[in-house]
Amino acid sequence: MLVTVNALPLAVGVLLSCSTTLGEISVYGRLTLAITWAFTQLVVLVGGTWWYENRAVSSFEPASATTTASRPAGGAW
Amino acid sequence: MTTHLLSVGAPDLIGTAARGAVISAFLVFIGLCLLWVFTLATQDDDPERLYVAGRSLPPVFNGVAMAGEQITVVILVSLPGAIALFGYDGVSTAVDSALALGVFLLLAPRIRATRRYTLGELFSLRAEGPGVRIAGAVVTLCIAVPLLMVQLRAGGITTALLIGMPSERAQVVCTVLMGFLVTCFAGVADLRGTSFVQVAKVPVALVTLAAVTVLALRFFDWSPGSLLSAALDKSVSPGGYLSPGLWEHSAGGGPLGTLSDHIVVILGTAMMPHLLLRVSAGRDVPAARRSLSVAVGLTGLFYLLLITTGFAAAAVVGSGRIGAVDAKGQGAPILLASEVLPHHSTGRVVLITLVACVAFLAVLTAVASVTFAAAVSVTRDLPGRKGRARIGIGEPAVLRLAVVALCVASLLLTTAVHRYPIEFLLAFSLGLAATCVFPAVVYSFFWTGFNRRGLLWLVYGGLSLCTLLTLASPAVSGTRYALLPEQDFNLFPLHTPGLISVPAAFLLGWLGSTRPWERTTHRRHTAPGPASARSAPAARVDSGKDAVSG
Repeated sequence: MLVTVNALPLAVGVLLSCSTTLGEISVYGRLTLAITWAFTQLVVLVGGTWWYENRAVSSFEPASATTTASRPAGGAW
Repeated sequence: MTTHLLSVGAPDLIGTAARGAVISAFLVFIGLCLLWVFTLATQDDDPERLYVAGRSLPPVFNGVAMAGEQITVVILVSLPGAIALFGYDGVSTAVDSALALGVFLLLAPRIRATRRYTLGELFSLRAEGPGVRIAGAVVTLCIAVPLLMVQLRAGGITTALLIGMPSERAQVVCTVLMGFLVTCFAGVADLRGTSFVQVAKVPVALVTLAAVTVLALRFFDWSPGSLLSAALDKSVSPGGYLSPGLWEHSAGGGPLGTLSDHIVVILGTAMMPHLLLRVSAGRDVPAARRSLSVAVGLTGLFYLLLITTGFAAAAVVGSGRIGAVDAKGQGAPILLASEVLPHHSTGRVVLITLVACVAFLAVLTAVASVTFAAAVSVTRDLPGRKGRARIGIGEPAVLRLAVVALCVASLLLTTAVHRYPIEFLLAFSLGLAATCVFPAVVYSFFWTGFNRRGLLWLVYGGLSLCTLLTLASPAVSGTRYALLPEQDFNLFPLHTPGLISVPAAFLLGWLGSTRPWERTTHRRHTAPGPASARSAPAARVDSGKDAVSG
C-alpha cells in the first residue's frame, strides 16, 4: 500500500520534471505546479510512512491482545 | 572547473574581523569532537558487536542515526547551492533523495530478516561460492571509493571557504587535514561509536538550518511568500526558476536524461552499502522498520529545511553572487549564514561557527560510515579469512587495516585529481548502486529462479555497462563542466547511465539465470528433468518472509 501511495505522486513528479510546459503552470501567485507537487511528494512520503508504521504496529497488536485476552486472569489453565 | 572558479575571485565569505573568532571556535570544536570520538573507541573483539553493535541499537536511536547517514557534506553544501542557482531542478533532486528512504523502507525489513549485512552476504542468498562474495566486495569498493573522494573534496573546499582561503593550495591542504582527522576517527570507531556522532549531528544540523532560515525570513517580514518572490527576482532566470530545465547538467539530456537522473538518485541512494549495515543494527524486523520510519520523518524535515535554506540563500545573497563564488553553489550555506546577521556581531560569529561545525560533523560521519561499511565488506567477503585466522590476525585487526587503507587511498586519489572536477563521481557511485545492487537485491528476494550465473552476469555486466556509459557521457567529455572539457568523445547523450544500465542489469540477471537458448537446445535433445538444486538457497530466503510479514 505504501508503494501505491507514493508511486502515483512520484510518477506525476517525474512527468512534471520532464516537461517544462506542464511544470511551469501557475498554481498560486508565482508558485508553479512543479514546485507545489515537489512539496506534496515530501508530505505524502512522510505521511504515508507514518500511516504505514501505525498500520504495521496495529496489525501486530490485535494478535498479542487476543493472545492475552484468551488467557485466564490468573495465568493458570 | 570548480577549482578554477573558486580561485578566480578568492572571495572572503566571512570577513577578516570574524575570521579569527570563527577559526578559533571551529578548532576548539574539532578538538572537543575528537576527544569525544576517542572515548567512543572500542576494544571489543567480537565481530558482531563491532560491525552491527551486537544488533542492540534501540529503534529510535538507530532511526536518528540513519537520518544522520543522509546528512552528508555533499548534500549539505551542494543541494542548497543547486536550489539557489537552479531552483526547481535542485528541489527535484532533494525530493528524490528523500524518496530513496521510502524505497529502502520497503526492502529493509526483508534485509534485516536475513541477518546479513554485507553485499556479498546478501548476494549469497540464492547463489553460493566465493565468487559471489567477491562480487559483493568489488561492487562495495567501486561504490565507496568515488563517494569518499567526493566527500573529502567537498569537505576540503568548504573548510577552505570558511577560513577565507579558497585557493587551490589551501583546498588541498584542508582536504588532507580533514582526511587525516577522519582517518583517525574511522580507524578507532565501530558502528556504535559512529552512531553516537550521527545522533549528535542530526539535531545540530536541523537547528542550524532552521536558525538560518528563520533569520532570513526576518528580512522579509516573516513572509515565506515574500522570500520566495525575492529568490525569483534575484535568480539568473526569474521566469524559469520554479520550472524544470534551468540546470544545464540535468536539462542537457532532455526528458530521458531527467528520467535517468530520477532512477539513479532514488535507487542509488536507497541501495548504499552503509545503509544495509545500519539497518542490520536493529534488534529485530519491527525495530528495523520503526527505525526507518523515524529516519524518513527526520530526513523529510531535513530536506524541507535544506530547500528553504536554498531559497533563502537566493533571496538574501542572490544567485549571481553565489554562482560567482562557486559554479555549483557550494558556498551558498556559508554565504547565507554570513549575511543574515549584522557584521561585527557575536551572533554572526556563532552562526557561521555552527555551520562550520555541522559541515565538519558531516564530513566526519559520512566518510567514516562509508569507509566502515566498505571495510566490513572487505573483511567478510574477500577470501582469506581462514588463512588470516591461522596466522593469528583477527577480524578486528583486518577491519582496522582496511579502514585506514581505504581512507588513505581515497585521500591520495582526491589529492592527485584536485585540479579536476570530480563531482560526477557521486552520480557514478549512485549509478553503480542502482545498477548492480538494486536489481540483485530485488531478484534475490522476489524470484526463486535467480541463481549464481544470473547474479554474476548482473553484477559484472552492470558494473561494466555503468562504467562505459559514464566514460562516454557528457559528464566526462564534450561539455564545459566535463572532467575533460577539451576532449569530445561523449557518444552517450545522458549524464547518468541509469535509464539504460538498470533495465540492462535486470535483463542480464534474467538471461544469466534462465539461459533461454540452452533451455531450447536442452528440450530438443532430452526429456524434462527434476528442478535444479537452486531451490535450496531459495528456501532460505523464503524462510525470512514470515518474519517480515509478521
